[in-house]
Amino acid sequence: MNTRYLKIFSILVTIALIFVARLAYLQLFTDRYALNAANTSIKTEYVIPQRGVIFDRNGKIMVGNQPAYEISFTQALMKPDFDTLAFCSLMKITKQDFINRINVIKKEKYYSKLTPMTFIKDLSREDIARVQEIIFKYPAFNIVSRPQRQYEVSTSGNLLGYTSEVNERDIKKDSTYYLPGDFIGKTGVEKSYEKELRGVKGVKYIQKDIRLRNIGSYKNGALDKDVITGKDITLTIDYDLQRTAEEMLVNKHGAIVALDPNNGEVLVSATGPDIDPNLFTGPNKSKNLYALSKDTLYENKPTFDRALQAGYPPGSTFKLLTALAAMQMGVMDEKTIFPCGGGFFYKGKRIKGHGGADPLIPSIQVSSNCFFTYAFIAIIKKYPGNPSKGVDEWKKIMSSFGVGEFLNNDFAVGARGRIPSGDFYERRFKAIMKASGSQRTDFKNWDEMSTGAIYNGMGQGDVLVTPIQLANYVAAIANRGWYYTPHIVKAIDGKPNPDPRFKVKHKTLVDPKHFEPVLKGMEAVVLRGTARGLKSNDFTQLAKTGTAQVPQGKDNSIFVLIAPAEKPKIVVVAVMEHAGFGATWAGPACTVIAEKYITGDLKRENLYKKMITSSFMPEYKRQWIADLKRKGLYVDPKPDSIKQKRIKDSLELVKQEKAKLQKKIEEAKKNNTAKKTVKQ
Amino acid sequence: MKWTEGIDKLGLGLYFLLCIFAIANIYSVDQKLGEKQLVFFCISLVVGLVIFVGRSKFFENMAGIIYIGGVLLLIGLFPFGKEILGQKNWYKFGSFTMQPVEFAKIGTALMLANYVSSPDFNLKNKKSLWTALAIIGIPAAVVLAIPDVGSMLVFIAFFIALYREGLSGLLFGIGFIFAGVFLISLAVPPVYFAVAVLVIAGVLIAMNYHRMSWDVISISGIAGSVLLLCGLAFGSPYILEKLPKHQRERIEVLYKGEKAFRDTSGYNLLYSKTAIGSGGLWGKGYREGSVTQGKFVPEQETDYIFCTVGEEWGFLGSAILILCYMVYIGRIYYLAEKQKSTFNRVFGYCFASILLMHFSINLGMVMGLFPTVGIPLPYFSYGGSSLLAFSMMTFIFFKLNYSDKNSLV
Repeated sequence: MNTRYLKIFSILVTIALIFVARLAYLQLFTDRYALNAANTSIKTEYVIPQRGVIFDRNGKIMVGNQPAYEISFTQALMKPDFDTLAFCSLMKITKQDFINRINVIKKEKYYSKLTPMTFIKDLSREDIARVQEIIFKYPAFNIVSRPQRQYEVSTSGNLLGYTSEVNERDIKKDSTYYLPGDFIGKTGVEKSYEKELRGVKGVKYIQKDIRLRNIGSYKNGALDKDVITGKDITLTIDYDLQRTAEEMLVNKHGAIVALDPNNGEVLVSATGPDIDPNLFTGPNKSKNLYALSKDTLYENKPTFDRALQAGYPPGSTFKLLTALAAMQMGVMDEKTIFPCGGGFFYKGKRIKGHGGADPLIPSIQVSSNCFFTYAFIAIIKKYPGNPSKGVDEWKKIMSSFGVGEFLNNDFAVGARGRIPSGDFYERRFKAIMKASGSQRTDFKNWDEMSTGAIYNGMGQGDVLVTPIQLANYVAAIANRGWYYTPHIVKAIDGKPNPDPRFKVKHKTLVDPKHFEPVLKGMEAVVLRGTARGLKSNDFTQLAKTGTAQVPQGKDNSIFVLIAPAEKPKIVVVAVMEHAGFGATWAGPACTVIAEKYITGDLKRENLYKKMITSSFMPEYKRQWIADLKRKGLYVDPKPDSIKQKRIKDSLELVKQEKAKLQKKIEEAKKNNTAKKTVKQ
Repeated sequence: MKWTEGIDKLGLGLYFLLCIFAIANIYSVDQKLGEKQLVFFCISLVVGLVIFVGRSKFFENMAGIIYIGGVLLLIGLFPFGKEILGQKNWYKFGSFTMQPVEFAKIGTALMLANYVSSPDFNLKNKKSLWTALAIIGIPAAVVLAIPDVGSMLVFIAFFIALYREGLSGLLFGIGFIFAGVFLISLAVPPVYFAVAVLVIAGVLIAMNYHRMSWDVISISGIAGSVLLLCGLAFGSPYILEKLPKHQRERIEVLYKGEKAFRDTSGYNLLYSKTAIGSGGLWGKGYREGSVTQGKFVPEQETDYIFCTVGEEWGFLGSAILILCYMVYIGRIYYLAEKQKSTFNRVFGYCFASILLMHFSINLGMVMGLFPTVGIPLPYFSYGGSSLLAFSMMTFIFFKLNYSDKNSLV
């Protein structure tokens, strides 16, 4: 046989093997081309689901949806004969604006010739109606519908929260779901219930041809996914009450929180100043958000949810917990009398306040500073020579009331507050000793006086509590020793909130028997004590006033209330910054809320009127200016020259007129005397 | 002896298989064209039947006339040709178009076989060699003048047949080395390349040291070829510069990547690779290829038909197709080798080599191994002229094979 025949044959086999190897590389060992095919020949279209509706507990819609439109732009579909001027006049933009927008799009991180990019956002229905008929002439531009939030209420912006386009961090967190341009809940309920509210995007795979025309669904839609609308959420909030609370917080810094102590449902979570959630929609959205975040004038800070985030000294309302802890720790009982005849004198320190040598109940009634300071000293001194041990035992009891810890609930924000530990005072004592040049090395047996620990008993020292924590511990007192974690969502899609965290009955470390005298004391507060002005003929109340001294200025007004006394249905707490006495400002707000909730009516309208018409803004302004002056930043406002001139001019005019009038009178007088003389 | 005994069942079976699979794939790209191809296939079968029942000596006798006719048809393109896709290589009669170059290949193959089988042919004889080269060169030159580089390259096939008949292999060796050096030196800096040439030359000399005679001729020969290779290595970028832009890009895209020429030559290559590469092991399924259905690959029904196979039938389908071609072409070489008559053998070699050239260049181009050159995949690409011409060659060969089997000589 001819050997050349074999050579030719082997070349044939070699070529075939090379091709098979190349084929294997292209099809099996690299996914570059598979990805390119998926990116260009199959277009993934997403159907954006409607976000779930947010209702209040009575079924009132608080947040719904409205259609919103945007125009998208796909570079690859741009035709060379595109009539820019006609398009600009259709969209009512200038040519320069058009060019700028296209340039911005091309610089975007995710820009690609084939991806539709947002060209104009937030078009109104009228705009769309105008554009709809004509836009087919411009295949590179498309109308995209993206439902937007519509707020049916004009308050509670912090509570409800807002949605906004995802940023890179959001996408990284859940990269399987979010795509650039998607919306995500950024604050409030929108954030904490994002997964339930957002629903599931629908996906359609559409085959595209080389001109990017649709040529049918890919694999006959076998891979497509249906859109699932977001779940509706029913809040525990009673918007009627919430709204009343918000009205009473107008022109005030502070918070009102109301709970149902029987199940931990938050009925009211109001913060002042409040935000109108309608600022979160519409074309000025980002401007509004920026303005809100930068509003620090007079310490307004509207985005700071004071009900959840602000740690306040609880003042005298904390005496309730001091009493409970002291009884539980066995350092006092309800009959204990501390040496308070004529006020508090201790290690050379005097604390002013009411009081006499009384047992617990009357001491709560009059809010005796002396009694509870002694009670706390007893706590500190439970283990002689080891104050830290006593304080830590107290801290543990406080924690069982949810104070000094995150509540671990379904609010988007929260704060820990502060309950100091024994270690805290050891460190402080060490610092004080060092500063004073003392040679002392034993810091274990710290001094309760110089460290300021004694003030904790009356809620002043180093204790900080957020309003929601305050409401929670009052609820635990109302329940005589247990509470459900306060939460804001009652039902999801009509079914009770399945979150197991809200089904656990948290027991406090205080024996139920110790609550009786405390509750009796709270009853006395309303009947004969510091809050006797807030008595109601329609329902019984248990309360405690608080007036916390704060360094910046006037005292914070604090009030806690349980009603009705026999079978508590509601717990209301209020904190008003720099307002003054607890019973004067926070008290009326609480009792109005309780009345409205229990009787369904507003009977003592004078209290409500007083609340909504009062403003503490002048005090905040004074503090703001004082603070600026302290920092040396204050500049006296320049007198308004135009106004000044106007005033000057009008004064001049008055002078001139007066002079004229004077002249006339004098002339008249002269004439008169002249006539008289003539007559005579 | 039954009359069917001389029919090569494997060869013709593969022919039918390829044609029918091709129609199915063209149908997937474009239903209308698939149906039209089916009609072309039927016409081809009728022509094939005529060839089969005709006299086998007809082609040997008429080779000269068919050859001259083919060349005249090619020359006729200059005054009467129709320009389609930038190449003036079509005749148009009403709605019917025809590509004469496909038929010219048959004529050339027949003529070459006829000449080689003549009793006074001897490749050692310069006259014989030059005559054979002229038979190949005349149509090849006309095709180059059209210009149709792809079809011109196919004429290399005839040298494979001549090689079988005794043409020196050196010609191929030199050709391959030059083409290889040209392409490699575009991608590799010429200095490295020159060093490599020197090292290889050194190794080769060292290995054959005892066999070499150190006379002036061999030393100057070695030095000359080394210099020539290095010169080519340094010169190839300049040669590339001189090529027309679209041809230059088709070469550059192979080593610079598709991205560099995204809007021109790179696009075709990127999308033909995308179609094939996205097929995976099993393929996307018949008529389910998203790249094919989206018509992302231009000319997919003709030169790029293999993309459809790659995408919709996956690695398994396309590898089997490649193996089918290999077996088919190999079968023809095998049968050709066994022919008793020289005419049959040379024609068979020409035929198999034409198939091999088409197959290699087309698949090499589609998979990005060879510069883009527009020639069809035999039996597979859409087109009446191509299918008819290849079918005619097929039936002529199998007719010759049939009568060869049945002859008593």
